[in-house]
Amino acid sequence: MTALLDVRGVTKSFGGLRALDDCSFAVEEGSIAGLIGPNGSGKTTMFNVVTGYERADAGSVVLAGNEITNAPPGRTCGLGVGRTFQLTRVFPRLTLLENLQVGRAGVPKAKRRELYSDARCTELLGFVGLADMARVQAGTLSYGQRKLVELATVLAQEPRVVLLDEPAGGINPLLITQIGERIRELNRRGVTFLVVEHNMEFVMGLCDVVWVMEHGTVIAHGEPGQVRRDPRVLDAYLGGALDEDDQEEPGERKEATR
Amino acid sequence: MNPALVRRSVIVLALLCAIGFPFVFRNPATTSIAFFTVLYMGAASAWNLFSGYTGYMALGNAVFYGSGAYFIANVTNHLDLSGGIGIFLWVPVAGLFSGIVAIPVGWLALRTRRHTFVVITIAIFFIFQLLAYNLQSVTNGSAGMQLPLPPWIAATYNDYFYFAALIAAVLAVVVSWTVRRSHFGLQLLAIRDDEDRARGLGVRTGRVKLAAFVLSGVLTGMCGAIYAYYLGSVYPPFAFEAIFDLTVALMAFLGGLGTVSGPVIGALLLEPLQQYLTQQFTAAGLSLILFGALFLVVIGFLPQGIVPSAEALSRRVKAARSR
Repeated sequence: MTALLDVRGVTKSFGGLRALDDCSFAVEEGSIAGLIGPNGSGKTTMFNVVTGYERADAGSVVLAGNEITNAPPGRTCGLGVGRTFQLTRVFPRLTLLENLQVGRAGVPKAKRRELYSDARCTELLGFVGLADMARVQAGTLSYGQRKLVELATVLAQEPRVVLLDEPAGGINPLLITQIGERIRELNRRGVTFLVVEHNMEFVMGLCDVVWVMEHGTVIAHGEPGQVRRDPRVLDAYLGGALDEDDQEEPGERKEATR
Repeated sequence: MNPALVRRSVIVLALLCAIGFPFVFRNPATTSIAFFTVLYMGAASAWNLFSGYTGYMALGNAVFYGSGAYFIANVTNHLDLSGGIGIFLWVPVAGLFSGIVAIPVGWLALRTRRHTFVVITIAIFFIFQLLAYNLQSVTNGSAGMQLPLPPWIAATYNDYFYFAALIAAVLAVVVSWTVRRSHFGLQLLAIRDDEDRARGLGVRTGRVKLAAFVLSGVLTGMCGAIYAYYLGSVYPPFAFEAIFDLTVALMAFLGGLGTVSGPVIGALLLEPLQQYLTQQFTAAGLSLILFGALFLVVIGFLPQGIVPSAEALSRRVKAARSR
């Protein structure tokens, strides 16, 4: 088994609340994995632990065979774990180009020149469709466009695995399709993805494998088609409402209950 | 017209005006104001290099100003130097000394953020002022220290100091400009916008902030040393002056926080005004009250500062023209 990112028995408590409870999953190299679950099931906390924004109380995070448990965010980033945030974070008063060039420490100067050159960063902005706005301040963009800038910023760091926290949240359907295409294109180029998302249609269409969390632990995983029929998953998402209508797809059901 | 060419011409012209100024205006009262204006261009640029770029509002830069002043006073006394241009060679050394002072100060203050940082820098400033009063062996307490008297005639006396300050100011601006265009500078601006995000992208925020803080301390210390030599004496309330802390910040605010030219423009407008007010209204600190009122006007009507407002205006004009 070639797990690029291997999370084993991670536990994290905030006071009396156990946000993550002996949670384990693995992301295969070259795959697009989904991480789904109801609100408060611990998805974002898991992202925070993997990227070093939060410390795990127990358990380990292994990247390509090297333990990175509780490494600070800058180090996990340098080792190839990129992430975007649920509430999109860009540097509002820097231009898009500058946003991509902020970059990491510990890279030799020659390598940094190449990594953060205007040409390469403009190309990355072109990849997300924002090349003509390279000299515009990021704060002036729309929310969806900022998500794209954030994605490009992560890509500028040459990540091996990218953790996306709700890439389709709060943006228009056209842009969702566009983001999905970009993710697939990157995946073809060898980038591994782990995606947290509530838009079921998006997740099921995009991911090779889906992990389902509830109450801070993984309750099921498998291919999208398998997972969406798993009674435990339906139960976690819909509570007792399941017996009313077995035929309904969880994605549609979720849309309907919004 | 090519904007880069225009900008270069303006810089050359401004520099020529600055160099020619004391040859045209020979009145010592005028050159004294010019000296302070240029000195504050340097000090305000130095303040902006850290606070303007990172967004950490330091209100204790007088710590480095005073440290530079006391350093040069001690050097000239202990080495028994006689007055003359040679003293100015010690100005960079005084700057380095202030930089060394800035390392523990920055290390301590930069554990905090935002409002706490502001309060901590003010507190550290008062600690240094108290030290200046009480460390008799190094500062001679409230009796102060004397520096050697330069052998220059009254008519051109100010000119030497003016040019020393001009060199310090140009240095501060050039350093600010270089930093602004470097990867180091970009990391400082990223810290201003979202420090945690910058850290997450691998910016060593602690190191980068401290480096900028120390650099700011070095440049401020050089200004302080020139100031001490100009006055010919150092006393705790003049070397460690709270008004200095506010003045450099106000100049950068007025000109435009985080811009290279902002602090220069701010100093050019405010320092002559402050000198004028001090001369006209010496009674009961009225000048300070007027200066404080000005602070409020700037914050109220030009919160962005002159340079960013002018840039926004020119963008709007250009957009209107292209339509």
